[in-house]
Amino acid sequence: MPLSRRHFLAASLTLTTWSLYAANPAKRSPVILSAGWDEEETWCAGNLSRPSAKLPGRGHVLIPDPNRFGEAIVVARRPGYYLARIDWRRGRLLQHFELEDERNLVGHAVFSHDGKQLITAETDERNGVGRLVVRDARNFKRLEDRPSHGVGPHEILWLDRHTLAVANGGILTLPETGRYKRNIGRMNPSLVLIDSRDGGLLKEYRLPDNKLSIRHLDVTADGTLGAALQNEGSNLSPVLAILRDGQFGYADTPPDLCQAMQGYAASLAALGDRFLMPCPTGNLLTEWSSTGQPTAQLPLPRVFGAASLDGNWLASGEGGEIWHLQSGNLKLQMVERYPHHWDNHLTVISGAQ
Amino acid sequence: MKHLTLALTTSFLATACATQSPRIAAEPTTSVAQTVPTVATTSSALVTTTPVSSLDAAATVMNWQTQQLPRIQTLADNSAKLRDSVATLCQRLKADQLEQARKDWKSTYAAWRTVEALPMGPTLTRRTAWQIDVWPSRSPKVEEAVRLVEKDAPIADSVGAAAQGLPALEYLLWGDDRAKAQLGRLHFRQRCQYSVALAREVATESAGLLADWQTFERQQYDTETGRQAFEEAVNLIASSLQNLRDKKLARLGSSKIIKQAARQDFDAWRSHQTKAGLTATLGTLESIFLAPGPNNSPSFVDRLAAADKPLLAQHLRDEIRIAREVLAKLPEDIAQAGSRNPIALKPFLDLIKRLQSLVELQVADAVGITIGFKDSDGD
Repeated sequence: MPLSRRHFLAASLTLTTWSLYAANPAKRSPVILSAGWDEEETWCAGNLSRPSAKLPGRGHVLIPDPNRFGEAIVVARRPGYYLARIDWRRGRLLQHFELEDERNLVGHAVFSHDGKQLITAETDERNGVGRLVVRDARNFKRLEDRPSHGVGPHEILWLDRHTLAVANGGILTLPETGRYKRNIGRMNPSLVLIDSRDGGLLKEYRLPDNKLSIRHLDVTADGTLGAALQNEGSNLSPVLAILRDGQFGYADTPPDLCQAMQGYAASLAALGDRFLMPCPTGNLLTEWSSTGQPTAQLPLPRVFGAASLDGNWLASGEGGEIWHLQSGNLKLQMVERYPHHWDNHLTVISGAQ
Repeated sequence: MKHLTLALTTSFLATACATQSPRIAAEPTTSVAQTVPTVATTSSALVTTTPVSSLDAAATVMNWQTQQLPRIQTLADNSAKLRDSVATLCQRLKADQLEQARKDWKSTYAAWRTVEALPMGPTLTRRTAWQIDVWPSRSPKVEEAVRLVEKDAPIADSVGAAAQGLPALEYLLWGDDRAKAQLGRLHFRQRCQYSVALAREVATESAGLLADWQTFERQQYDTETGRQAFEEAVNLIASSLQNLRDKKLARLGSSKIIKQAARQDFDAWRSHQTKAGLTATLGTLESIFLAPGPNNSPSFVDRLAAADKPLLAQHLRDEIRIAREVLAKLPEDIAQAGSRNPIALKPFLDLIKRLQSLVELQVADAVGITIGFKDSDGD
C-alpha cells in the first residue's frame, strides 16, 4: 500500500509550505518561521521579519496552528520538556506547557487534520520506548498515548487522511545521560506507517545499515517519501533514503558525494518532484529527484533548514543566513543575514501577512 | 558577475531576539564560488583526526574503573547507614535521630555525586541515577506517595521517579522551608514509612551497583574493546560536565535566559549541600584526569603529555585547578546566593564550560575519539 496514493498526495500535501491563511494571497507576503538562538544563547522563535518570542529552552520545529491565525506551536528540541504557543506577529510567548513527568519531547509534532489535536513524538523515560501522544491542541493535555513502534522517534508526517509516517531514529537516550547515545552498537532505526485511527502498525521499513538513523521526512508531489539520515557509524554512507513503489532504499549517491555530505542531513523539504537536503557537517546543500538521483549541490556553510517557497527553495544557516535558491540547479538568488543562529527547520506560510 | 558578499554581524548583537531586519547581501548571482565555506567543522559526525598514537586507551579506562570501585563502596556503606538511621529515626522520633539521618543523607549524597561523575558500566546499565536521583523531585508527588505507602512493602510502580530517591528523602528530612518542623511531621506514620522505604531502596540499589561493579572492575580489554570503552567513558565525562553546569545549577550554565533562578532550581537546596555536591563531582573529575593509576601508573594527563600533547595536558591541569579554586570561593549556600545573584556563579559556570569544551574538542581530537553529542549539535 505505501505511496500508491500518489495522485491524492500530490493534490493534498504541501507539507512545509502552509497555505491555510492565503485568503487573499495577492495582498499578503509569505511568512517564514524558525526557532533559533542569539549570541547570548537566548532561545527564541518566530517570524523572521518580526520580533521573536523568547523561549524557555531550545526549540526545534514550529507548526502553524491551522485554527488560530498568527499562532504557532514550538516543540522543544530533544530531550525537551515544553511545548510553547507563540504569537509570531507580535513575537510573544502565549502559552508554556511543561511536559508530564517521565516523558520527553524530541522536537517534532503534527496537528490533526481538523487542527483540534496535536500529535507529539515523545520518549518514555522509564523504558526508552517511543510514543505518539495525542494532545488537546488548546491546553496540550494528554488525550491518548500510543506507541511509535520504535525507539527515538523524530519527525512525524501525514501521508494521507489516516496514515502517519514516523521516523524512528533508533537511538536510545535517557534523561540521566542527556543527549548521550546509549545504544550505538545496537541501534534499530525504522520508518513506520501507522494508522492514526487506532495507532496500529501498518508497515515497517528498515535500511541495511542499522547505524543510519532515520530522522526527517518529506514527500514529493509524485508521492515519494524521502527520509534524511544521520550516520552514527564510521562508514561512508548515503544520507537520503526514499520509499517509492513500496521499496525503501538509499538514493543513488556517488562515493564522492557520500564523502562530501559527511554523514549528516539536518532536514528535508520537497517541491514538485524534488527534495532539498542540507548537510551542515559537510557544509553542503543537496537537491535530489524523487527517483533518488542527485540533481545539484551547492557548498553553503553550516546549512540546516530547508523549505520551498513560490516554486523555489529556501535554506537556513546556523550563521543566520537565509538563502534563496532556484529549484533544479540550486542557483543562489539572494542571501539574507539575521542576528540569529537558526535551528534545523524552516516553516513557510504562504501569503500570510 | 557580481561578487557575493556576506554581511557582517557587527550590529546584530544589539538587536538579538528583537526586531529583525535582514541584510540583503546579494543580488542574483551566477557563481557561488565565493560562498564556499571556510568555517571549521566542530560537529561530531565523522570528524577524522590523527589520534595520539601512544595513549593506551585500555590502560586509561582500567585506571578509571579501578578508581571508581572505592567510590561505589563508600556509596554502598553510606547508604546502608542512611537506611539504618532512618529506620531508627522512625522507631524513636527524636531530634538526635533526625540529625543523624540528615548527616547520613549528606554523606550518601556526597558519595553518590562522586560516583555519578563517571556514570560508566553498571551505573549506566542499571540506570542508578534514574533509580536514586531523579531531579528535581516533585513535592506534590512525594506527598501523594506518602499517602499511598504501605508498611514494609516495596514502593509501588505507580509512584513516579520524581517522588523517589535521594531528592525525595531530602524533602522529607528537611522540608521546603521549615526544617525544624519536620520531626513533628514525621510523627505521621505513613510519612515515616515512606522515608524508610526510600532509604531502603537507595541502599538496595547501591548494594546492587557495588556487586555489579566488583565484577565489572575485573574486566580486561584488548585494544579495540579498550578503545570503545574509553570512547564511551569520555563521552560520559562530557555528559557529566554538561549536567554540572546545566541541571545542577538552575540551568544557569546552559542559557542566559531572562528567568531569575529560584532557590529550588539548585541541586540539594533544601539541605544546603549544593556546594558539597559540586565539590564531590569536581573531585572525581580531577581524579579522572590527574590521578595516577594502580602501582603508580601514569595518570591521563601524564599519558597525554607523553604522547606529544604536553600543552593540552598542562591546559587540563590548569583548568581543573582554577575550577577548584573558584568553587572554593563560592558561598557555602550556593542555592541561596545564586538565586539572589546568579551572576556570582558565572565565573564557575564559565570554567566548567571551558573544561567541557576542552574535553569535547581538544581531548577528543587528540585521542581520536568521537563525541556523540554536543549541545551545539543539530538534531
